[in-house]
Amino acid sequence: MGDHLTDENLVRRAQEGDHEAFQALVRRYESLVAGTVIGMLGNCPEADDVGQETFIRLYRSLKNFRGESKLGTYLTRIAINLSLNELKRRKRRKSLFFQKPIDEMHDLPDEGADAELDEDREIVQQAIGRLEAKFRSVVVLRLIDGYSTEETARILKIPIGTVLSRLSRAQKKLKELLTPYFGA
Amino acid sequence: MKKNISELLYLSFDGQLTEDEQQWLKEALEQSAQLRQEKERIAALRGSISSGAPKSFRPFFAERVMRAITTAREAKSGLQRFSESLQLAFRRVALVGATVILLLLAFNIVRTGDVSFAGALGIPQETLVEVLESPFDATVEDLL
Repeated sequence: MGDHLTDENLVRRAQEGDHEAFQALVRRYESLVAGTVIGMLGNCPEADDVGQETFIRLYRSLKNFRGESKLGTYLTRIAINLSLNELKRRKRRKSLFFQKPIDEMHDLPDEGADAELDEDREIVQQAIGRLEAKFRSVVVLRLIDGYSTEETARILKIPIGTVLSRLSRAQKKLKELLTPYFGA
Repeated sequence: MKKNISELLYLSFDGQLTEDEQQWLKEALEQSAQLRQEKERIAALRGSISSGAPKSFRPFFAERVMRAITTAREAKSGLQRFSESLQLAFRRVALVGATVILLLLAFNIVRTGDVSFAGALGIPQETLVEVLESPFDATVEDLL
């Protein structure tokens, strides 16, 4: 259900209590939220929980959602804030999730082209995970979710200049981390 | 602020260069093979970041979200039921208590024939003179 319906229609139906309409919205925006959350937290069970929480927050705020911002942007803002909270919690717990030495990535199984692609993705993901949260968030929004610099600035509530400088520093750091794996 | 060519190269991917900067970068790229290579590397890096991120959660994500919403709603309605029954029980206790208090007030009024507030509470009405002229005039010696 819902493939032919616009976001506004699905939101209106969900506001009226139509669960199928809300489920259609979840399906529609799963990939966007997954890109943000997994980009920020890595592919871990907490990412799934944060993804679920993002949609639960949307469900709870549906009555107040007036469509002033695009639903995707609204969800991304929730997802990025929840991810940043999770990172703070992680920092407090001194989790070692992203502290794994980048050399350990070579331990991944190598079984053909798919495995190689997965390994590359894993390396990139772990390199992103080694960035500070403030740099990671701009990389995720701009390069993974594909938001413009203006949209990224609006979502993170920071000036465009800050987005650009963080993006530039993040890319330099990522280049430094990834060069040993993908060559100079 | 004057930007260096490396900064301009990174910024050029996000479309934030002035016309002068674009021109400067264009000329620098034409002159330097190393810079052109660097541009390709940045493009490849950005490509691998955007294509490398997983774009889905574990299977049946939408179903899990809906289940979590239903569970939360049921838990909320359970909590609501508990709160309502607690309110109902308290209301009964409050009603019985208020009735008992009213009966006691009425009993005191009937007993003393005094319809004042003090009479209803069963407080004996004494004047200041009556209190001061209390028959208690024992001395310390008597007490000892």
